[in-house]
Amino acid sequence: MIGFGTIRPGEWDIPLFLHVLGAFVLIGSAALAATFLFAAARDGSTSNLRLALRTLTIGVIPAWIVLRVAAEWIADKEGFADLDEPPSWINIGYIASELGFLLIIVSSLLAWFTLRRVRADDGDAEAAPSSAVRAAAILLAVVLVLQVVALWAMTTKPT
Amino acid sequence: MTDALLFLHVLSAAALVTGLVAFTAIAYGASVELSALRVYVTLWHIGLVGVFLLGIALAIDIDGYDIWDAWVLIAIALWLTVGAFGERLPGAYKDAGGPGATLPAAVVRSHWIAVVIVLLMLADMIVKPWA
Repeated sequence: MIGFGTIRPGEWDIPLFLHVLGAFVLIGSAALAATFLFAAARDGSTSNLRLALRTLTIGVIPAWIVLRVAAEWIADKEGFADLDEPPSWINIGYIASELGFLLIIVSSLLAWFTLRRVRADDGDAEAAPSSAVRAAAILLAVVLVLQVVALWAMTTKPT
Repeated sequence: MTDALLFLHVLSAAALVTGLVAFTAIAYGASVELSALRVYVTLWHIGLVGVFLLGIALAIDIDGYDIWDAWVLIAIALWLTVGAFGERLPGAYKDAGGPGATLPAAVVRSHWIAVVIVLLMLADMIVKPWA
């Protein structure tokens, strides 16, 4: 988790590459899923809701897993995993990623239950409860804010 | 100063990838509203300008790095090519009327080339060959 601006041992390259790639794809796919959810909340369309769920399952959740596994990998290589009191920037990263994952799961469940309810109502687009979908979109917007905070912590490394 | 530049540089890269993720969804056939596409194209442009200007500023600011270092020159070369490839998909999608549009195979191919170039840029930033 040493920043871009330094030269590191070569063996850290792969986990750092995966960690940063996971973070970028997580931010991009969470933004896209939120866009689909806000559109679904506005017009009640099931196609946007379906696209949001697909983005969450194909993009957001796998990206979070890549980010988190690579973070553990590099923390282990750098010796941070054995510390009783890791630096605060690592703690910020843990809080952002774990709280973020919880919000991603809640958002996915809200979207999934809404889609199931719409299907049970024979696909009546107007039946999509926009408040649940809007809540799911807002949760993803919070995930984005958390990721930007984590990005700030990883690059500036506050003590 | 270096920390702020690095944060903004990485944030710009995140904006660039956010645009690219939306373009990838379109390449896979997702319907993205044109108003939302405009936001993603703006993020893509902000990302492109940000990574370049802030990257140059970082190369000047950090002791031990210079603009003529091999990995910096590689990054600049990749940056010069990615813009042209990345622009094609959102432009074609908009010209075809947006949601429901069928994109030519060549446009989709350009998009995947842009994805590969962005991955190479990220790998270059991390590996820093010949640094």
